[in-house]
Amino acid sequence: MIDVAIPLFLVVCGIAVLLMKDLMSSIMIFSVYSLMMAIEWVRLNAVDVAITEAAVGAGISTVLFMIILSRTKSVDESKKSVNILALLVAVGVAAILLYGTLDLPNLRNSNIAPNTHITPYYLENSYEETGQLNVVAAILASYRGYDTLGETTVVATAGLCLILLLRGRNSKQSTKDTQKDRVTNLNKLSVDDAGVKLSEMNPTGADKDKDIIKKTVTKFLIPFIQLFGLYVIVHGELGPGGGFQGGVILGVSVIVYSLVFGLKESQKRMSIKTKDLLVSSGVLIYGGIGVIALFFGGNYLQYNVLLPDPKFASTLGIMGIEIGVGITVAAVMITLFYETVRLVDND
Amino acid sequence: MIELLAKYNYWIVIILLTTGLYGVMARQNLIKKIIALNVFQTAVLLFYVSMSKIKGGTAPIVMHGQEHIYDNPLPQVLMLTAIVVGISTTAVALTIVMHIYREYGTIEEDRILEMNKHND
Repeated sequence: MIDVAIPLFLVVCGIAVLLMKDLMSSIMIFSVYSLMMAIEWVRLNAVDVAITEAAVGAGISTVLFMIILSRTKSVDESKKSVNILALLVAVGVAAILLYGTLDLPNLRNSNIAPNTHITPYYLENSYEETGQLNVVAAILASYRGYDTLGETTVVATAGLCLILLLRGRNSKQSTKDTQKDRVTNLNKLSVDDAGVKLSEMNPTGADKDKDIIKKTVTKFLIPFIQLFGLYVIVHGELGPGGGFQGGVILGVSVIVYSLVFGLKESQKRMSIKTKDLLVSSGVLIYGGIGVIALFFGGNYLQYNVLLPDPKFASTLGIMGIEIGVGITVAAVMITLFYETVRLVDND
Repeated sequence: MIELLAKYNYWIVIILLTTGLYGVMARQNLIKKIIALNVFQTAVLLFYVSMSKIKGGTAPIVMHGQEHIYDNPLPQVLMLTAIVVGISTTAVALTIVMHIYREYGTIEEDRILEMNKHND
């Protein structure tokens, strides 16, 4: 029964997100939507996906949307008319897809094409070949290692994009004389808008006593969050976990710290320069392990040549690249937060 | 009942997908559009992961000494990385929205287009 109820709830949330006039409630509902999605992943036994969704969807993306909201307007001002053309297109697409499901195989069936092609090989041989009990980690790091390297690079590139988009702005603004009036007016406006909310989010020294509970609890919690993040990264070979999931959790710990203590305090612990270095060094570790394998006479990212014992070597190699992925993902998640929040401090 | 539910998740995916699609097309607010894109994305993720579930299967973590049916790990791997890539690209999109707001003072698409017309 719960397998029927959760997807229905997802649909309700999905539609409500679009109907909300206030963007803040829209984001809150989207956060609930992500949390329900995480539960649905657990129902579908996709535990690794569930960890990632809970940390990313319900955690980081909500914070990110809220930061951007505090810099822009929080009310959807568009007229509430139904766009007939868009509705027609959407219904048309739905109809075509529904017709398509007639040909799709029934779900929960082990004989359908996606489950018969290469998967039985992975399930049978992954432990012998890679030393990983968690087949998800084995495929991620070993069988599809190139793919994951590419994806880690994409994540790092997105972090670099953010740095370029947001950090380059200040030097450019002084030379932009033509639009100066308009820009300064707008900046004033956005600062006024943001100022109220930001003081709630980023308390400065003035109202220290007000959030003593928040600070004490956070101080107490953060070591555990970080320990859990490290556990998830290193434990990926035996249970659900790995670089992506653990990296996100590590990133969240720093974000929580700066939400409660303010950006300045948090940058004393994790400076922007360190974080920038970490973004690229994670990818470097990943790519570097591949190159080391080349020196030992194997193929790129072929871990089992690294040591005499192939299974142990492969376990070590996979742990190495999981750590690399974890570093990059954590650093990029911190970048998302630092760079978007820093904007107001500069104005 | 079981026959009816065999394709249940497909329908959910289709509804979520079209909800997201409609949101991207019809909503004028840029942040709304990005949320709608995220809904669209999760619908695709749900489609893949639904495929991986096998009746009576357990999570794909090998337990030796016992006979088990395991769910398909491959779609899970692909979707796991897609989520992290998704949040990174969403962040880039949101940053661009912020720049648009600084330039135009609004994040409503129709007003931005109107302003562009007047500037030409």
